[in-house]
Order: sequence, then structure tokens, then C-alpha cells
Amino acid sequence: MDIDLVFKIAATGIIVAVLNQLLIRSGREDQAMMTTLAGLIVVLTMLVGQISDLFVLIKALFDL
Amino acid sequence: MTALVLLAPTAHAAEIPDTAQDILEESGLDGSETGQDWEFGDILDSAAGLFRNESGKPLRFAAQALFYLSIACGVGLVAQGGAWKKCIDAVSVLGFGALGLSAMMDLIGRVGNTAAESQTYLVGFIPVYSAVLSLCGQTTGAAVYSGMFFSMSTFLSMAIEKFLLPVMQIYFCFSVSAALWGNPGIEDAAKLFSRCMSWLLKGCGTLFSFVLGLQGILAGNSDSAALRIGKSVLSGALPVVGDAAAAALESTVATVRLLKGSLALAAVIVLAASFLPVLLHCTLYFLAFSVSGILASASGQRQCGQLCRLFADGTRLCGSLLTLYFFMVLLSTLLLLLLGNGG
Amino acid sequence: MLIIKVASLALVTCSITLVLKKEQPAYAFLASTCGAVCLMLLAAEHITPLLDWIHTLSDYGIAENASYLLQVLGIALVAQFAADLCREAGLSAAASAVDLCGRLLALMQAVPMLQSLLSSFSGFLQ
Repeated sequence: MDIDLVFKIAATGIIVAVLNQLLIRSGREDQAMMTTLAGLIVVLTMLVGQISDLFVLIKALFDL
Repeated sequence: MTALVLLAPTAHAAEIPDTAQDILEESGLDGSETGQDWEFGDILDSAAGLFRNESGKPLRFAAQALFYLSIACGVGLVAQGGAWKKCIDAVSVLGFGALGLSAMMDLIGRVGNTAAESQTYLVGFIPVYSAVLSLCGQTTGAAVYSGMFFSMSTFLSMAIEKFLLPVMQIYFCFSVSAALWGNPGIEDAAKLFSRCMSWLLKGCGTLFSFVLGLQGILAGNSDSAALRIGKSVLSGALPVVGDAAAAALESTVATVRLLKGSLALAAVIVLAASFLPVLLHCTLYFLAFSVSGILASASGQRQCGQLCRLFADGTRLCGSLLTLYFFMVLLSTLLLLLLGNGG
Repeated sequence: MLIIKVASLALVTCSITLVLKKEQPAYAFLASTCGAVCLMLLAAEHITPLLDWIHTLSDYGIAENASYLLQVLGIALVAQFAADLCREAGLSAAASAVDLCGRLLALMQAVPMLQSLLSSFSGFLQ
């Protein structure tokens, strides 16, 4: 679970980077930017779940 | 007629005063058979019971303090970064100060109560009896001496209650502030208070031994080894009043020898029974604070360690205060019994 | 062993971050954040029994003040974590702001203790 998420983010990042380069080279820069943003949103969705897990656990542990 | 007049003083002299009689009856000790019936086992049992009763609170406090200090050490280790360490130090000292101060409030309340009780005893019992003595036409020299001694004791006890206990409280509050703030100025103020306290105690102790010295009756040079050991222990253990307490111990032993009876022993036991629990309380708190201080300094919490040391000094001063009171009360009683028995 | 797992996770995160840094710095940052969050989760899960034991002790009344101290520790850890993340993204102003907030909140946690101390003072010095 731990390493999987990092690999997923890495994979998304690499795919987005490659797509970005392709789209910029073929002249569609706005689409390149939209791809980057879409990728960011996907990654953030994956990450927010993890972060909320962490903060819930810390809240429970330390009685905050 | 003259025979009757002569008989009256001896009759009065033969009874112990009412309040002392009441105290002895209350404690369940019969004056005539005390010394013989107590076996060593009984004494050990009662000592163990006393220890168990008194050690509850200080032990609980020691457990709390040690636990708190270990957690504070752990927290300090985990949260790295200089600024955070300072923040955490401040919070941990605050917590420890609150813990220690509530315990000390208890202790001082108890010391104050014991002091007030013995004060009532001194103020109520002694002038009445010395008036009775002078009415009976007892040795006028003895009456003059007793008057001076008792007025001195009353003055001392009032001085202790009005000055020393408040200074003690201020000392504790100042030591907490000193540890919290970390400013050397406040530290010096706390040290000044403790020095002031020692001066006052020393003054009372010197006054007391001065008055004792004027009592020709009680001057006895006893050379027994046990007495010497007792004196050196007292001088060493109590910070300020050790010398006065040692002189008082000598007088006490001389008086008990003079009285030659289980009545004196009974009086000593009854008075000790009221003072010993609180003294034990003080000693246990002193031990608890010393151990916590060692732990705090060892785990690198300078301010908590300093606070522990200041509090331990405070408990020691409380103990000295109590001992001074105890010897004052004891000697007043024994002197009275001595005079009452026609000494 | 746990420490080996932790070390390998950290290594993998670092390499992925470095790979992504030039092309997509945002993703690099997110990858490093994810790695850090996973590591913290591991640590928190392993410390849970100890903290539960401390909480039961404080229920017994032995360590009431210790729970305040633990809360301060929690605030410190989260604040440090957030500040470090900000600094890694290059925003040192945000990092200082988070640090400041954390310290203020931690000191405010100590207010009940300060209140009890002051009430002891006033009880003493009446």
C-alpha cells in the first residue's frame, strides 16, 4: 500500500510529462496545460485520502 | 492553719494540669503503665502503620512526577528543532510547576494546621498553669523563669505563624516563577527568599537556645554516646535549626531523667504522635523531589531539575520549622511537669 | 524489519522525485509529500500502543498533566511536518507562518495548566 501509491504517482507524473512534451511539440500547448492539470487533480485525489488518514490517526493518538 | 497553707502547694504540685491529663486520656495511654507494656513488636507495628498511612500521598506524587518527567523527556527528544524545544520546555515546566505547587499547598496546609494546634496548646495551657503555680506560692524564682520561658515560646510560635509560613508560601510561588521564566533575576529572588527564611528560622532557633540557656534547671552535661549521635544527626540533617534542636534534645533528655517516670515518657510519646506524621510527610516529599530532580537533570531538562531542587529545599525548611515547634512544645510541657512535680 | 522498509521507501521516493523534478516539479513535490505521509503513517501506527497505555494511565489519574504535554507534541509534529513540506516546495514564508501558528497553538494548549497554577498562587497568597 505504501510504496504502491508512490509508484502510482510516479507513473502518473511520467505519463503526464511524456504527454506534455508530445503535445507541446505538436503545437497544442493549451491541451498540454489541461493534461497537466488533469493529472494533478488525479494525483491530488489519491493523495488527499492518505493525508486525511494520517491526520485522523494523529488526532486520535494525541487527543487533539 | 499554716499546715493547711503549706499542704496546698504540695497538693497542687502533685496533680498534672487538667489539659495535659485530658490529652493523655484521649490518647489512651495510662500514665502509670506506659513504659513497661510496650514491646518492640508493638512499636514496629505502629511505626509500619504510621508509615503506610503517611506514605500514600507522597508516593503517589512521586509516581506522577517521575512519569511526567519521563514523558517530557520523550517529547523533548521527539520534537527536534531549537525553537520547538524551548516551547516544549516551557510547557513541561508549567505542568510540573502546577503539579508540585498543589502538592506543596497540601503540605504547607498540614504544617500550618499542626502549628496552629500546638499554638492553641501553648497559648491555652501554659499561662493558666503558670498562674496556678504562682498562686500556690511555688518557688518564685521558678515562676519568674517559667513566665519568661513561656512568654518567649508564645512569641516564637506567633512569629512562626505570622511570618515564617507566609514566607514559605511566597518562596514556593517564587521558585515556580523562577523556573518558568528562566530569568536569572527571578532565580536570585527565590534564593533571597530562601535565605530570608533561613535567617528567620535561625533567629527563632537562636532565641530559643538563648532562653534555654537561661534555664539553670535544665542544664545538664550528659555524655552518653546516644545523645551525642542524636545531636550530630540533628545538626547535620536539619539545615538551619540543627544546632538549636540539638541543644533542645540535650535538655529534653536531662528533663526526662529528672522526671524519672513513665509520665514524662507518656508526654513525649503523645506529643511525638502528633508531630511525627507530618514530619514523615515532609521527609517523604523531600525524597520524592530529590529523585525527580535527579531524573530531570539526567534527562536534560534543566528548568524542571532546578524546580525540583528548590522544592526539595522548601520541604527541608518545612521540616526544620516543624522540628522547632515540636521541641518548643515538648520542652514547655516537660518543664511544666517538672515544676508541677516539685522540681 | 521495519527500519529497512522505511529506508527503502525513502530511497524510492527520493529517486522518483528527482526523476520528476525537471519535467514536472509539481508532481515531484506531490510524490515526495506522498512518501513523507506514508512514512509518518508507519511511525504513527507503531507508536499507537504506547500512547494508548499512557492514556489509560492518565485515566487512572496518575498523569493528567502528561496528556497536555502529549497534545503539545502532536501539534509540534504536525506543524513541523507542514512547515518542512512548504520549505521543500520553496515557500519559506508559508513555512514560517505555519511554524508560528503551531507554536501559538501549542502555547495555548498550556493555558489550562497556567490557570491551575494561577489559582494555586492565589490560594496560597490570600
